[in-house]
Amino acid sequence: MLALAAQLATNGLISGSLYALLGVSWGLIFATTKIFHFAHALTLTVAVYAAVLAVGQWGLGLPAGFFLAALVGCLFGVATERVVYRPLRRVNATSLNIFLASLGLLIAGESAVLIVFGPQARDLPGFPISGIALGPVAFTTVEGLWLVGSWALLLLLIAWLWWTRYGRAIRAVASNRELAQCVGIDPEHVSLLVFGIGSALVGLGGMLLALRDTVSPTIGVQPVLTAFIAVFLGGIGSIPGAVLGGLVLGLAENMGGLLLPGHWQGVIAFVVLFSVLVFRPSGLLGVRTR
Amino acid sequence: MDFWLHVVNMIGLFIMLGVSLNLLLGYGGLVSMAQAAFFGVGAYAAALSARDLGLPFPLTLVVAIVVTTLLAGVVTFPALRVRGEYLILLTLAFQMVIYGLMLSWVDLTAGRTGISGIPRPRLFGKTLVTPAEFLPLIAAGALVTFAIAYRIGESPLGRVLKAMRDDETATLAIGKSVLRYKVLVFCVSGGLAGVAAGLFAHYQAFINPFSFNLDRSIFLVALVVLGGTGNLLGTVAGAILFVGLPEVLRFLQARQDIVDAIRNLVFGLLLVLFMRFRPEGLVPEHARGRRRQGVGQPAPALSGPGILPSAGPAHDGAGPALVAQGLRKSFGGIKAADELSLALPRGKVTALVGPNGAGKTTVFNLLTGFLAAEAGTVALQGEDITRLAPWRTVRLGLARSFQDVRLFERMTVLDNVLVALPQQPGERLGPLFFAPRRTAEAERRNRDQALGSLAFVGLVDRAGEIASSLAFGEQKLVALARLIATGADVLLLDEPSSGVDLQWVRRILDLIRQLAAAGKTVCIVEHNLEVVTAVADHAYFMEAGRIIAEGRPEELMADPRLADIYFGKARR
Amino acid sequence: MSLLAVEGLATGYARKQIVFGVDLRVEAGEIVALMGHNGAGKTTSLKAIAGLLPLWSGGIVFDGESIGQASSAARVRRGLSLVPQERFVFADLTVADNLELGAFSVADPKIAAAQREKVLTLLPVLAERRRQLAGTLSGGEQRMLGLGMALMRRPRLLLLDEPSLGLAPLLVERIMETIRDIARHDHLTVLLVEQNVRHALAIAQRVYIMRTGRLIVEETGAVMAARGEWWDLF
Repeated sequence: MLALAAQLATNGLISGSLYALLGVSWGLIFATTKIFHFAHALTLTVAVYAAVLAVGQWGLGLPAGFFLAALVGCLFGVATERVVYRPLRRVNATSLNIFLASLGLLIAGESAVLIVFGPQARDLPGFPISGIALGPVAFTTVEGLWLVGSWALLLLLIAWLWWTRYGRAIRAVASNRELAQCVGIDPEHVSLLVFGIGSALVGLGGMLLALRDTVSPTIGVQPVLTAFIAVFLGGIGSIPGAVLGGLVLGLAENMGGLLLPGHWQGVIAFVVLFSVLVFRPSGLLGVRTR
Repeated sequence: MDFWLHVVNMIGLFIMLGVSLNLLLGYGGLVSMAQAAFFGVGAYAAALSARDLGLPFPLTLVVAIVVTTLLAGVVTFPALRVRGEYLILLTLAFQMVIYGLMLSWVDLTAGRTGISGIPRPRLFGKTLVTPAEFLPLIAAGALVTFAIAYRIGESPLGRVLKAMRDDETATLAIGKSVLRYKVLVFCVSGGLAGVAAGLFAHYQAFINPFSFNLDRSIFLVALVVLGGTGNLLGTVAGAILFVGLPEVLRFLQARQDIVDAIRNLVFGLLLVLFMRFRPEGLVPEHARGRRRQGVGQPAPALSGPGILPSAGPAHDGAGPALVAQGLRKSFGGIKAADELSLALPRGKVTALVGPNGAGKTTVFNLLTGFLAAEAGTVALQGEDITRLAPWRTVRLGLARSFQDVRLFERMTVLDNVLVALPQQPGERLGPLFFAPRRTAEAERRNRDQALGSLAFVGLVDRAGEIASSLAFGEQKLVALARLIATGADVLLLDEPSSGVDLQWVRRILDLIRQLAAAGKTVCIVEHNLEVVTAVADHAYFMEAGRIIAEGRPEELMADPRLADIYFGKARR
Repeated sequence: MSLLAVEGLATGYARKQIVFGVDLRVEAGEIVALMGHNGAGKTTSLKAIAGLLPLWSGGIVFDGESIGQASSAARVRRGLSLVPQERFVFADLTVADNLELGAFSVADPKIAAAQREKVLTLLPVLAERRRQLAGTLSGGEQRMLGLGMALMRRPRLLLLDEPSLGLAPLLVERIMETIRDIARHDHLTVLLVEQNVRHALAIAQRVYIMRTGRLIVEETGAVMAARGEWWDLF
């Protein structure tokens, strides 16, 4: 029983780390721009498909694929902000309308990917898959990369946000947009910056996923839904919160099976979201909403 | 031919679903990503009750309706305290949970395999099997649900829903219980979806979870928004276009999933383009031809204070209209109200003045119940109202306005005032459907009353215009007319003269004087001391949550101690 | 030539016009006070000068250059700094981070470092609390921090919106003295919105009074102070 719990906890930590990465990639954008960027799922899809194309068809190496995913993701995210969201802000669109536009973009984008690339599932080849055993727990090399890769990116991002000038500027805009303007920061530039960074991160997160799961046009939706849950669980406006939310979510999903009857397992994440929204909307580490 | 009839049937079902969602989203302003989940629950309820309980057709439909209505009612409660994106996420979570349960609770739902062999309905001795045979039934269903939704939407009840959509706080401030209306609209929306669900289950004779997933919910939301929220004809147009038209694509010699993808691509692009260029949808809420609420005939010449309505319990003319004793309220260490007591003399204008942060708006919030006091009492015409919810105190005769006006922006000026009138039979389902003549007569009387309020503030000629198109000064006057329409005898005005130019200030002050002359008790929070001296009979001076002086404004301004507080102590 | 010359300023929020044509000027080295009742348009005017609100009509000339269409970031770079009335510090960030952000527009890190030393010397309480979250500071300390942040970028014109709001009388005196001293020693020009009339008059050379979106009085500080009370102007 203990061995099972340890294994589930390990699984939970591993997937939780990836959720943390995905959560932060979305939460950064939401905290800074207040835009509910549902089309983040499309960014993931587009980035991964670009890499799959490069690696699978053009024969580029896997590392190049990762780099390409980050680059394509970044550019796509920035383009979304400039081409879709900014014009909507200019006409004072309501946040519901912006949300629906984001949704429309996602639907259209996924369909476009399906038409261009076909509905068949693809693989991201090139990563040696084998098992690793550490005492009572076992995991695959891919999952090991999830753990290491997610944390490397998270720590890099957090260090950047806390200790550099532009990282500080991003936190400033997220904290108090008007005051940021008073100190000479241009919030529009910062918006582009977070869309770029968040989108690059989600591209990399998608790549990690693609190493294990097959790639199809709808690959982006489930992970990004999970990202929302991680952010709301941890508390919107808090990067450490998103990390914590991701970890807790990963653990809850994997260990929930020990406690809950079978048919609730698949929906644990959403039960968690529902409960957070009803009982503690500010989340675990939530910043007080202004 | 059968194929096209099937398409018509599907359009009919989607009209039912769309209309049910439009009431919730377009009229009530409650964005729900879970309509497909309700649809699914209703369908499973009908299917299971037919297969396992052996119930015949009309009863299974009733089961579907009852189950979805109850479920919707239950969901309302967690949804009550969340708004905007949180509500979207909450309903999304609910949708995913229901869908997940449909898939994995195999004992109940048979999971992915779904439930097949749902018996065909027998009506008037005939078994309905083909699309042609189902058409009259579905058409009837669509007509009935449309008629019900239309009756509700275009009634005083619909008016309150729209007000709630535009501004919940202001809706409370005119004496309507937001909670009741939310429960009501959720339940009705659920019930109407249940009609579609029951018909769907029997029509297809087979259901599985994949018809009730998130994609379907998103499609419904998009259909309603693109068709036009707040306008049921728009939903019909949306259903025909977005359900019917894609079927034409089937004639393209292409694979099914490519056809679906093309349809979705166009759909998604339309959504983005509409949000940018035509957010009101195909058929906007105030489309041409809906001039019902316009001013056809000008109201008879109404002037003088005698026409001002007075609702609430009758009271004798003695004593102050409103008395507060020992009110206390702190916010994390800061005393916003500290043993605060005041009395508003009947028929007079009282002002609350004091430096920034003295707690003046907090007093209004405490008096009206928007904030709960930690200690102390408030008595209106001698009755204790301390623990009452704000919408109840309005019914008893105490109402307040807001510094930022808070009109119902997407409604007409006349509707803004009409919705504030109390005790409208058309706001309750019973009289709306079972006493139509009484409802219509009350509506006529109320309309004249509302026009009278507008005449009082001098804006009758703007009655048919959308509130958001008015200048700020005019909006303040409409807000005043709305306040008067509540019939409250005690009116609390929060910074009535702020944010407008001098000519408006004079107009507003004149109206305030007329209100007092007509016997209303008025209390204003004001920072503009010129206004205070011009209009107030009596003033309270506040500082740091306490009242430290009262008297005629001139007396207060002659007091050097108060000058010290207001302008800062003299330096030695 | 005045350091700041505002002519016919009209502005507001969305559809709500608050300011209906205001002319004012501030000479280099002066402390000018802008006063009036709540809602008269003082904060709105300052925000428009700082570039946070668009000019509906009128012009703003700063040091000879028209800045009416310039972005707020550009105005900050030219030396115009606003300390807002509310939410004037980044509450979730540390005091140190707040100060660094105050110097965001300063290109040369050496200059920023030198300013940091000056500000911490001038306002030592900030040095003590460097690692604390700004939101946990007391009201007076937050006001000091807000002021310090603005000083980090060596502004030429300091726009202060009610720097003494919510402070105990002793602290109000201290803030006012600090402002006066800074203005004197660093050749700083100050346009100050203040509700504490007597304290403002003690340090301001000239005074403007607004009511209902317009200017009703322009007078020297000495003449205003001699009045003793101002009920008819508010």
